[in-house]
Amino acid sequence: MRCKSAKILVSASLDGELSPRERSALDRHLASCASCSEEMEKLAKVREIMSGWGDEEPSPWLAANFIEKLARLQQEKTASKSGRLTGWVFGTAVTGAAVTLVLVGFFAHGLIQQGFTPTRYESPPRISQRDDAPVATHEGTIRQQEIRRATNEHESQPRNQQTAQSNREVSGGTRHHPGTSYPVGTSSDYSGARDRGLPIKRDNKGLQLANELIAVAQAQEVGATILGAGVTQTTAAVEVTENLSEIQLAMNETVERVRGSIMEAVDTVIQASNIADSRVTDNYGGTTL
Amino acid sequence: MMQAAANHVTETNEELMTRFQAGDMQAMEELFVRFQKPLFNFFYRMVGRRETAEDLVQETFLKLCRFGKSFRGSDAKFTTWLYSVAGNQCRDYLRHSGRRPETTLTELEQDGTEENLDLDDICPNGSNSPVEDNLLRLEVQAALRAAVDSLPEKERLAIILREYQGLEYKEIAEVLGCPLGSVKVLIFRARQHLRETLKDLQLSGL
Repeated sequence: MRCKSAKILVSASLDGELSPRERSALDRHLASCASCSEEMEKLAKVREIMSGWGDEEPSPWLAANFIEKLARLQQEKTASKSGRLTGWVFGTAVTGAAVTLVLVGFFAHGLIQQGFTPTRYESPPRISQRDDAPVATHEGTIRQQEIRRATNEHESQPRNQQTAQSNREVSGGTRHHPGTSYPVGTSSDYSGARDRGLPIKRDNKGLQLANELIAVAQAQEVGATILGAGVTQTTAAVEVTENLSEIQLAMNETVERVRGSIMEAVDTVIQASNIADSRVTDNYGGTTL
Repeated sequence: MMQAAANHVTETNEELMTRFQAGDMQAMEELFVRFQKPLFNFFYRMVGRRETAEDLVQETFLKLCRFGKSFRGSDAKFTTWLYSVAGNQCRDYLRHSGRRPETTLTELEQDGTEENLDLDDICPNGSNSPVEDNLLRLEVQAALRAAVDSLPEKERLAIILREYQGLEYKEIAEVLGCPLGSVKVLIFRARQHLRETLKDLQLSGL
């Protein structure tokens, strides 16, 4: 064994880290090498000096500081988890609501495009419209009159009954003021209309759908007005046509009468001519001119 | 209650880590109480500043909390894992701070400690007064601290883990991530360097 290798084993032997084979090899070398034996003594002294460097006590508040940091770390973890959960729930709710509204909008739009006519719902009553206001069409007139009648019935209810109904309306989030015009898109309640199954706004979620349905009902009313006007004009045209036929018949009769008169006149002229011819022959010796 | 306390005392480090992995933060507090002093002294000998050493102790344990799930008690000893994290923490600090030994040999010479010191002064046999013994011990300790600070980083780490933390060569090899033979060489070289440095201070017997 060389001294270089032996000195490394000398150091390890001080720590008791030699295998039996290394131990015996080192012992054999040390028995014949004074330099390595001296090295062992010096390294042993170094170890002894090193052992004089004793441990020091850390600050008494070191553990307390760490425990405080640990608690803060745990709080941050909990807050982070909670924040993520709240954010997820809120985000999901908002997204769900948005998707629902979009789907309802598309659905309503598709129905309207296909000519869907809501039979269950009717256009909202125009309470501000006077009873004696002119109504364009027959159908619209009937519908509006029905609604107006319902509203009038409501207004003619006893005071205490109205108050109770108003309270119900307030609990539903709206309040009805008689004679007030309700703009489309507000959450106003129509008491008379509600009695007749008309749509009542309860919250903002169905606002868009209700607006679409009201727009359809209004469009239907306008269409009915136009149709009524057309029917009236057609009736007038038929009457004119009938009159024309009568005139034509009268004219035909007149023409026939005129023709008969003319024929009679012609016959008269022929007869008169014949009479004249016979009178001339008689006057000039029986000679025909 | 007493039985529970006794159980906690007899719990091994690995068992405490298992409890921590199950979500028991008190287990980590217990480990901190057990290892704060040896870990503080490890860092103190490595970096030479008390405040820095205390910061590094806390940062090491916070790292244990973050990466505690990666510890497998069946595969490794807790102390080996602890000093692996601590060693990396220490090396990161030394590299980023570009720090050199806090107490230089020049400072020691200026303090007038270059007089001949006998090994008997370090291990007094009763010939000196307690005050003198204490002063001598402090002087030798300061010289030794300076000598340790002057060691190359890996040698310093290896000799401190062996002499002061009591790790076996095999554990040091795991901490340093090197073969067992390299640990033997590192520790031998460290002792040789210390002997040379202390000899320069004319400590007798070296």
